[in-house]
Amino acid sequence: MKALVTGQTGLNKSDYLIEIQKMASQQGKKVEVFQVGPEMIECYQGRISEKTILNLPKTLLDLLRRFAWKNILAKANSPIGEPIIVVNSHAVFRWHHGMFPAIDLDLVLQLNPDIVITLIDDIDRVKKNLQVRETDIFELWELLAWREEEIWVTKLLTNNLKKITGKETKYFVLPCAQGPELLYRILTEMNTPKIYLSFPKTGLPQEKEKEVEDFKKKVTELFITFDPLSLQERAIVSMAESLSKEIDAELKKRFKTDTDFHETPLQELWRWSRDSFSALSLTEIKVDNFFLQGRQIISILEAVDSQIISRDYLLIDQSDIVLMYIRTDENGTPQISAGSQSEMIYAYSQGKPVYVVCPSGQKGLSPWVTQFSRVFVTLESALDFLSQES
Amino acid sequence: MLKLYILSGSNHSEEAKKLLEETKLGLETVDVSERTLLAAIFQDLGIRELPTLVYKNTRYIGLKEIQDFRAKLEGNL
Repeated sequence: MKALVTGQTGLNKSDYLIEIQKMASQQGKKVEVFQVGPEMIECYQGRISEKTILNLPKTLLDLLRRFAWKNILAKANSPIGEPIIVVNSHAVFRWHHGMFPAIDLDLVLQLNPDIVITLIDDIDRVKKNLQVRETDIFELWELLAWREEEIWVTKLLTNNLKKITGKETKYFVLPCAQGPELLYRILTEMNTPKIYLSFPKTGLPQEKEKEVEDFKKKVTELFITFDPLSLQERAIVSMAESLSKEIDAELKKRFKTDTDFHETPLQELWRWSRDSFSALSLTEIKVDNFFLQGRQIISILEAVDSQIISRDYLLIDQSDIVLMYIRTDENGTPQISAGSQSEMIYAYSQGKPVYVVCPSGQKGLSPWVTQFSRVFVTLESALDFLSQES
Repeated sequence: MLKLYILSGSNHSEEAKKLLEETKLGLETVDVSERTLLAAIFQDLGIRELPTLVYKNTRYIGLKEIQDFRAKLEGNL
């Protein structure tokens, strides 16, 4: 089994992969990890570091990368025993001089991986990790863009790989927050069905909340699950949208009158422009004890939401089944979110079975739900069905 | 029963809570400051801004709308 793992900088992929090696060793298995970045640094005989390697001229960097890959391929393609081989690389680099490729199709072809994976995480966590490593030169929007570039460049690479080799190389996007055991299971349980979980977090009665959490745990024990809510950077946007009016009100207090702001002499080349988010640009917002610049948050407001949609679709694409919990309100009326409805229709249109758990059963559910899914009244009945089916 | 979604530490959320605590309708406060909830609330319930008050299937979004709701309520009582 050979796997190629990609992902942007700041994911702490090395630590994540060490965890996978430990898991394997506990089960008497062996995972060999080859890291392209450190191999490149070693090839240059220690004259560069993580902080300076990308300063090298692109031609030299390309050569160094190919040299490092050749070294890795020599070891990865003639292993001792039957270890799981994992090669860790970026798909692209971003640095002071913009974006440039970090992987070559011909070298990946020589590796001929069975699985290709892109690891992803919340961008504020990535930023935090980069600050610890003293390599944070990136704005939030760049980290958001880089994550998407890693996904789509790697996916494109995998599609080309499949076309050339004719081999059914699988591609997965995995949230780091779901823990290294997710990747470990992907590597060691290829045939276990994969389930996309769609469950509400807010608005559930307390007793239901626990029941749903237990259910998710049970499903994850039996199947490989993808949890879209493990990516939580939407919290940054929710905070910004909630605080913007409050911050704006504070700013207004600083002007003598509300019109002070606009009543400045007309300028030839610029004018004042202000909306409800303008005041936010003067702030830093505390998210999980980590301050993010308001002006950087403004630059990602729309993109975070659009990436939620494209990412959820990707997670559905890589799943065999979609399992959805539809909560009911205090009157027993089902409450389905726009997101869940869209996920359901998307999964259905992709030929994936959709199973719904709704305490009211079919009663009260729209045909827009019942026509596209199989409905269960209890979590237990859904779990029984899934266990039998598998 | 009034249901108020708040962000703890926010002045507007605190103010909204104080305003509504005084009504006789009963108040359930849901603090969604925890990262997971803050990330999920928009997707689960479509709530983009806090504080948000939900009463009889109507949403009052932001302190201004909650203040207006409170003023109307006082007028009715």
